[in-house]
Amino acid sequence: MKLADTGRTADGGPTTRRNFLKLVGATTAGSVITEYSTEVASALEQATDGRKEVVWIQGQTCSACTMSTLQGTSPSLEEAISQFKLDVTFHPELMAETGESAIDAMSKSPDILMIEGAIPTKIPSAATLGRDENGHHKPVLDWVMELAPDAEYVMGIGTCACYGGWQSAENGAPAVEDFEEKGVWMDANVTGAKGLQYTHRADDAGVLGPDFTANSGLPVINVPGCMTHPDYVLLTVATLLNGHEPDLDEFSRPKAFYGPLVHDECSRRGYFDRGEFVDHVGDGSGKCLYSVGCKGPYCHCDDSVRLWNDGTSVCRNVGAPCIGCMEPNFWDRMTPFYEPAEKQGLILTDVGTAGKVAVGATAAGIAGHAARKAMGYGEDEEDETDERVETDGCGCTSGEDT
Amino acid sequence: MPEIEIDPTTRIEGHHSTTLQVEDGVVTEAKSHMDMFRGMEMVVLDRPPSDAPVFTQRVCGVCFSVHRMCSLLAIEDAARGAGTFEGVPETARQMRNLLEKMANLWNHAVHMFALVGPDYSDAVADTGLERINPMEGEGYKRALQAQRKLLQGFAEFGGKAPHPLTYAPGGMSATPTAGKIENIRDQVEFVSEWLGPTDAVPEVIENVRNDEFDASLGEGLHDIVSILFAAKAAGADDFGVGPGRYYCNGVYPDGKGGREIPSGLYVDGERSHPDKEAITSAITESTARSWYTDDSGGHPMEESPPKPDPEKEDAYSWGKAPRYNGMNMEVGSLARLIVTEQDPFDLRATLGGDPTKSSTLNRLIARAQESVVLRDQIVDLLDDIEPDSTVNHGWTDDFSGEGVGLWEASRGALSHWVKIEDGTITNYQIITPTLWNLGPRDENGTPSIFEGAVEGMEVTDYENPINVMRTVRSFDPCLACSVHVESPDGTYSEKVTPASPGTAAKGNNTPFAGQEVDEP
Repeated sequence: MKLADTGRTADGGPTTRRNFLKLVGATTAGSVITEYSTEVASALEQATDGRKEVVWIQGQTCSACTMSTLQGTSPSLEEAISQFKLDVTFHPELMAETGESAIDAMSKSPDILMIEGAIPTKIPSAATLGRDENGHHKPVLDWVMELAPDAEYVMGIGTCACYGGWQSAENGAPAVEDFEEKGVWMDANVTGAKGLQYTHRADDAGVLGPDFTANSGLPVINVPGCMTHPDYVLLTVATLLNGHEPDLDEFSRPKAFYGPLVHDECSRRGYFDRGEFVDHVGDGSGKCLYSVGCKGPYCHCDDSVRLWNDGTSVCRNVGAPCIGCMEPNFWDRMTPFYEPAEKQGLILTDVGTAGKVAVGATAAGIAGHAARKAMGYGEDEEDETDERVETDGCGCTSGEDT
Repeated sequence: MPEIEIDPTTRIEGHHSTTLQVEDGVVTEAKSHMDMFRGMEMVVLDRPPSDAPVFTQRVCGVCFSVHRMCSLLAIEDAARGAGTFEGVPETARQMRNLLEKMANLWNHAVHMFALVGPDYSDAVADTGLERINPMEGEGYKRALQAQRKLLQGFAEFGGKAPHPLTYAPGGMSATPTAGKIENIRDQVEFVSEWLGPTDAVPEVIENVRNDEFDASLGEGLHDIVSILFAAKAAGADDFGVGPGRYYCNGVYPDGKGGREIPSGLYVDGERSHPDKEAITSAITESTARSWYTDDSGGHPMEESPPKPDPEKEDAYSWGKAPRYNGMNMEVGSLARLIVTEQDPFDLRATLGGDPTKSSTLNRLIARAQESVVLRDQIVDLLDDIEPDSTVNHGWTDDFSGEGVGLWEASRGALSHWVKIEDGTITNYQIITPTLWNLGPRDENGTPSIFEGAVEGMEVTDYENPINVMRTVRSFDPCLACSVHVESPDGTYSEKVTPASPGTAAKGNNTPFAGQEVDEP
């Protein structure tokens, strides 16, 4: 695998390199290709005692995270499978095994258990896979509880698996319907959809509980996003196969990918600092999208630089405000999507003030910090190894409290 | 003959499964189960209309653009009725058409090579078609590369794919710069070269007939036509036969008030082109056999949100049963081509035997025909878009009204229905193409198209069950499916899934669908 083949080197290379090296704990200087090849080779070497068994299970999902993983180019999924020596023993959409062989093929103690989609707990039959010994539809919940304790690593793929996703967003029916009968349709979370270790609610944890650790001793490693980025999935796998423990943030996300603030690396950032905002979505001005609801100041990931689809583009680059899709409960916290954040009670100032405060600053970095302070959603982040509880955008003081 | 015999049954299912009752080698009853419920039609309530497209896009990560598009059409329809919206700018119309066509072509490519193709590959069915072997065949790998390129082109306007964010209320968010248009053109040219020139189709057909291969006429075309010939050889023109009733919502606004593909019905051999009002008044949903309370059905604009009833007797699906004036209707590429009287290169008339027949083969041919047509249209559309022109005049959520979005996903008719009161959504319903094709029975016991198409089909003691799989896949159901057969003679179960990168790469010895295996 050569990174040069991906076409990423020109625009996305440096960031890919920096973060990959950070991820694998490498500190030596060298070219992207050399370093990357070395790590891949290392993964291969470590895997020579046998293939690494992967099980990918889907709960309540739209499959976009699978489709996104198919779009990976550095590496591609098929490169990852062959070069990382992955043995994908189960994937409901990508496997071809049949019948008995499919269940037999599924490793019951996988090296890496990947879960895509939320886990319904109140109506377990809302997502089933196969049948149990009594011939009944077997809930995905049961599969997760069985497989996770015996897995070396467990990964939450996408926002639904990490936090519960839109399935667990506020049910609006009771507010607009006058139901005669009472039932689950009155509940805030109709199917009881949850993530693996987190949920959208302060008083509730995910299905595996807050104290769960896989055999490796690590909690569920979350690579959220609606959908997730293929690099986040495959490079995290590469890291784990190299025997490295990625630094994780308070939501168990690899910091190398989820440390940066979308806002800080946004191509439109200069407009924010000058207080120049678009008039409406699609106005063609190319200015800052904060006024039309951009949640970039509250969303953590490196896609402003990494970009999507082999370095092609990203939401802001096509005039679309960030929806905050990497963050817990963004479906309720970041909505209405096209409303500026201050109208949602996320911050205490308005667009004009935020921009003006920032205008006086000379360096972009200083401006960023100044703006964050002014907008009341963050202390200055001197040390990014600190728990980033203050930047989750809701004014909450605890990672759980969302 | 290839065969699978897996006995005893291991009952595996994805998000969709099918139970077949078999007697004397013939399917006597089929039940199509949808095995997932998420509650989108409830979550989207009590929110502003502009949020609906962002939410409902997440119904499907494969049909990632069409739900957002259809939801936009619904809220824009409502806003137009309320007088707060006058329509999207011309460039936005063109960009939407472009992206929707690219998404449709992407879907077809993924379907033909990753889902349906392996059924006819040498690895799976001893057909000699090694090029389309999952993960290893040259044709398969090229197709995988082509689909990536197509989505990279899509992302130039979309921002990312799946789940692009550029479709916005009032038009688009992306500015169509000359640079982006050129980048899309580059990616489309790559895909186009892979596919091959349209006017080469007759020559490619001859090549495939004579077992010849000329890469300069398009690797993609050769592989696709090879799949069609293999399907013909398998008798797919004669199984999976539906009632031959088709429905299409129409798609791609032409800028003159109509649509490039108009709405249409084909019932009892008669074509008609109902207007929007006729279509929206004809559609109902039944929850008689669904895991929802009986009062959760009705006309989509008046239905209550789906109220789950997972213990309901005789229910067997999380899907509802949509009906058109009480009739089950087939939707998809074949429906679109039939209602518009198109049969490019006479492929369905010649290879398929009858251009309007509802057969497994004709569904595959229609998808191939559409792919070539779509590619040509995409190339033309890129020339039409004026760089840096207006894509959005703005939008307000502050209105009341009702709206319906009628659209076509690659797999068929899609509709979104919305009621808005003072800027808040008070009712929302979605009817997907997979519900039309693979939903459950209705209150009269009328099966869905797929259920009916499989009933009466020969499953001669499981000797050739791959044809059941081929039929399920021919509908391009947007679900991981499985089929489960029950008969007095024993049971058989198979996962119906796309092909496996994992399987081929790791070279294990578990069988592909249809691969001959020893008795356990």
